Amino acid sequence: MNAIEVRALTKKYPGFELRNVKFTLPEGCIMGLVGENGAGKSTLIRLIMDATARDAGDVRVLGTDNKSPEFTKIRDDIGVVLDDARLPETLNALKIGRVFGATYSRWDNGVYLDYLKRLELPEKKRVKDFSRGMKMKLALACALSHDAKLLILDEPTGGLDPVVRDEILDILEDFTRREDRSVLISSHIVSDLEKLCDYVAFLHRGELLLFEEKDRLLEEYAIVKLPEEALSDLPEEAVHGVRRGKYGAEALVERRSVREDLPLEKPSLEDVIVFFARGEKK
Amino acid sequence: MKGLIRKDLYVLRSIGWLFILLDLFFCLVPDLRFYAFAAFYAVMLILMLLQTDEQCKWDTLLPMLPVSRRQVVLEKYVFGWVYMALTAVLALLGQLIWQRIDGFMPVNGTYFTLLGMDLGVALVSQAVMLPVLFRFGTAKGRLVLVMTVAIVTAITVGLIGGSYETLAVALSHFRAWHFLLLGAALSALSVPVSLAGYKKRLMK
Repeated sequence: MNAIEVRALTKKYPGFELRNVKFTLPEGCIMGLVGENGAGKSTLIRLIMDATARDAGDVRVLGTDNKSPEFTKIRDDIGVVLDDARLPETLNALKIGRVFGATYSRWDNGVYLDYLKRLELPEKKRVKDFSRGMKMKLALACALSHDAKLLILDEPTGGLDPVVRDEILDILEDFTRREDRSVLISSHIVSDLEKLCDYVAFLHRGELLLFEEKDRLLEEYAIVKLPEEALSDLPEEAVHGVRRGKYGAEALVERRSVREDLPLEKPSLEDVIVFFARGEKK
Repeated sequence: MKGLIRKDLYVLRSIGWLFILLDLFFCLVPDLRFYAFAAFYAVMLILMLLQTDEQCKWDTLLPMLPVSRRQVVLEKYVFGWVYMALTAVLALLGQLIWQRIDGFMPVNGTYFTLLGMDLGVALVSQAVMLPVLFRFGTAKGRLVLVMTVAIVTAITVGLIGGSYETLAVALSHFRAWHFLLLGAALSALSVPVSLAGYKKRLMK
């Protein structure tokens, strides 16, 4: 079973359009959704959770059409963390645990309390007095305490310091040790996703420019540095982006489509994303 | 729905205790004109709860939790109804105590008619308010609340502004259940309208 299947998904707002998005996240995998602010990541997540109307397309989550009445029950298997946490701010962590305990059928308060301890979150302090990092950790503790099969996280590491970010990434790695658990995580911090993800999707101005297995992506593409005038020697179909500088040019190329004697460098995920985003060709 | 009710009870306890104290006062004053405020406060309370949901953006997380749209809408109605019922019981108990002390306004048919009227007005206010709040959010909903308060006040002043005897004569044509029936009928209509409005707002 696939964790998420999205087909030809389209959503139009005045001045913005999410166009024909399609991807499949297999069960047991982690997918990183990358994109600049305003690229449509949060809209896509809301569409996946049927929290907003789509104009076209289909979405299946954990094998169920998200427009079907059964999807309310399927949400019991999904842990969601949105940017800003969005938890009731006048409550403390213990009370929030009780609210979620009465909401999710498989809520495990023991697990929740363990997470509060592990993440060093105060039990009796009001959420409104939490820092952003603490709020995000609390939201994550909630999402992880009801035996979810799928985690959907919208910018969980945005605006956090590297220590907290690392802590969150560790927890997500733990979560996916069980093979039937999947994660969709959106972020514009590509280095976070590089550590974690099996699949990478790149959303740019409402369009899914890239959806690929991360390892394959890093194997298939390479960066070549060469004088600007030598760019024209590269086969056009092999070049996916060009960066020009004072001392020459860099191009993101498909390894198999260029000459083997070229000095190819392994790109980072960030390199690939930046080249795709700029999209400048020869 | 249990989780939603629990959340609202916690929020009420943490920020609405002053509100409840005031309501307690309105319930226990031996004058049903004050109780009218207590019953109407149920509507204010729901507005306050929805407002706190919007402030912390809980309302945007809610559609992603395992609760149906219907449960989200119905919970606020149930909360209001239960709150109104509790205030009515409390007002009745208070009145019985006052009656024993000084015999002020006996608990008789007229009393129950007035109580029913107050509850009916509160039910009608809730039935009018919630569809607006669910469709447009609390910012626009507050405007409707102000208008409703003005109308309710005008009616109350019109009816109760005169002497108690005049009011008793005016109300002798009605029974408590007339007001309650009107409130219940409008509530029954209001729930599906709220649900449709809420879905429309979510699906923008």
